[in-house]
Amino acid sequence: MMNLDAGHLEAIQLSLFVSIASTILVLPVAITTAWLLAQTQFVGKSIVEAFVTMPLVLPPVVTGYFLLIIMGRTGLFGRYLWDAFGIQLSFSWYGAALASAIVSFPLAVRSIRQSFEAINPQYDQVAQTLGVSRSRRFLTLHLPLAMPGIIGGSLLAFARSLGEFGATITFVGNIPGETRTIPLAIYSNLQRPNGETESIILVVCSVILSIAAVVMSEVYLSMKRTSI
Amino acid sequence: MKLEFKLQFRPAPRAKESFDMCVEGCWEGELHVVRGPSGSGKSTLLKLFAGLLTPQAGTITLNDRHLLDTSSQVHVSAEARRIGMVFQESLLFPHLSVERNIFYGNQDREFARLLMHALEIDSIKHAKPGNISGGEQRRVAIARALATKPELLLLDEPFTGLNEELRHSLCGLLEVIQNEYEVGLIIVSHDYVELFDALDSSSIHFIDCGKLIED
Repeated sequence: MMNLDAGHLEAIQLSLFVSIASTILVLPVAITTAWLLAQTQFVGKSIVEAFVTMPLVLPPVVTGYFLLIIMGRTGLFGRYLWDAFGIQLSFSWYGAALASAIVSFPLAVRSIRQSFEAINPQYDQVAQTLGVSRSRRFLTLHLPLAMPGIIGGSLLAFARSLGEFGATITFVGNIPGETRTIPLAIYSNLQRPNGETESIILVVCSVILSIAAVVMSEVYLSMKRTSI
Repeated sequence: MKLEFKLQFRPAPRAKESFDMCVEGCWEGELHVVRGPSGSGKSTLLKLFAGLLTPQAGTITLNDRHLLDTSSQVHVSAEARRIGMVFQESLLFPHLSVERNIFYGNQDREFARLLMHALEIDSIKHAKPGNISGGEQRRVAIARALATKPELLLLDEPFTGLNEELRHSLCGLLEVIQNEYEVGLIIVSHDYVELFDALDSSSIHFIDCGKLIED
């Protein structure tokens, strides 16, 4: 029988919270990267493209390992965060948000980049002849025209964050109430005898949330294809 | 208007044009028409004037203002040239209403409203570009370009896709614009040169394979 207990609710709330934070974190970087890749030419572009795709092909555990080395409390950059601001990313929920953001980054960039690439370049030329600066063109022309793709990409990144497991468990562990998101809670339950029954409700929630996010993402991405 | 230019332009390897452009001229007077077969370099010439393409070598001077001189590294950007351009497709921004399109590059709202009234598009100012006719779109595109008060307005095939009545109406409108707003006009057109009463032979230029052939 499926009963929603406090542990389940905690995992669901934390998952939603981490996924929303991760999406907010990833969006500005993904939009900027996607725009640069779609609208500009620069030396080393293919290296940047490969770097952006990296989290998609690397095992998430490896991503988590790199995060631990770089952003852990004694890591290359993490030690400065700890010394200067007292911020510890490893084994905390914002570390989980960072891990999810990095893993979902390539998906967000791909969707958003496609929407920037779909914009007729002549719109930009018209705006140039109207005396409009590049930054204003980005804000008032490129961003609104790419908006369905940006929303679709955000939902996709959100869905990916909901399902994130490997990088999260490696970087922030599996701490109830702090870093134990739905996938980690399912994993923990399955480690216990008869834990399958307790996992069912989380599995159902996970499936519903993921399907809703992916369907909404597809709706927005198809709006992009038809409207520009 | 006085436009002096001498330009050498080699298109990018995968560009539509397969020839090098080499043009030179000193055009005076408010209205000029450039004719030529399809793919002869007409639109490229307009984009070079507008600053949307950069030639390998050359100079452009508009009303004694140096816009380009490759030998002395002068290159006024398209944003700062004060040269408006109406493209072959009207290219109205689809997410903005007619009015917001016209206000887009404009600093003087009152002037933009006067233009909308003069071009008889104030009744459709709240409409989205997708909901207005081709003739209306063309007038909105012209109003949008004029709203920035350019010194020179370039029109790429403005009569394409319009019926005879709309062609005559647009032609009359362009002559009014030229007189009322003191803006030089360069019109690229396959045909319909006879529509302009004010044109003399020195204002009609023929281009083929990237070379200007003066009559």
